[in-house]
Amino acid sequence: MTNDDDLALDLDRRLRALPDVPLPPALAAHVHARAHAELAARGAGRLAAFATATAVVSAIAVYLTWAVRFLSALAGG
Amino acid sequence: MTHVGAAEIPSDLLARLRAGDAAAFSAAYELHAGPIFRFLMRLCGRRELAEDLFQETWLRLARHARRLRPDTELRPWLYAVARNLVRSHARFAVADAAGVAALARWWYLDARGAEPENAAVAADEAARLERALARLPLAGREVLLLVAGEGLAVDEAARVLGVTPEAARQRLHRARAELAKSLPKEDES
Repeated sequence: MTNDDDLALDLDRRLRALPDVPLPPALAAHVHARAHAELAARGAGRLAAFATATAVVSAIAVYLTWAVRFLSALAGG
Repeated sequence: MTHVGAAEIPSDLLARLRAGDAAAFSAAYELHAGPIFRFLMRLCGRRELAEDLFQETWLRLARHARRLRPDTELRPWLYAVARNLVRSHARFAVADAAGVAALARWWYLDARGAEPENAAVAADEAARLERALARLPLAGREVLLLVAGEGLAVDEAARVLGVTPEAARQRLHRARAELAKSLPKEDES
């Protein structure tokens, strides 16, 4: 092992021995709650977007069906 | 410092997160919140900023969970988000050494309750190392914290930093040399 390797190992050991930084419990709880709310909101948003897309597609289908019937009635009349 | 081992991460965690599973999110939070907060505190050296960026990191996971790629490695992903947030606050790139020393004392003493003499000595030793670390350029500090502090492999750290593994190795080598050079000065002070 070279001096550089020894030095690197010693530095890494000293860095690893630094005290753990405690995550304040109040901060942990606050961030957890906010992030959960965000996750839930994103899920609801996706459902809402899906529902909106489905509603738009069905409205177009209903309109097209009506238009075909109307045009057929005009042509027949 | 305690690290998250790969064995501790449930294999289906990412798939559940991508499905928007709240329990999976809690599991990820439980595993990674402490290390991410520690990384942010040491990287930016300012408690209020670290707390803000910690919150933003987790909000980003909540927003992006469903869009994560199936091959995403969550731990490097979280460190990358945290690191990029610090980078975006470039004005804080040079951490305040006095502030870092005060934080080190808080970690050792206030956060642990009593102040026995040996704890005070250990706190001074830690403060010297924290000050030397804080004086490193951000590029050196982040790679040292990721590899030596957080226990990431050099390849993982390279992905966090957006560089090649070879470039990460070179940065690490330079950072260690700079830290080694500045430590005796701190030890004398």
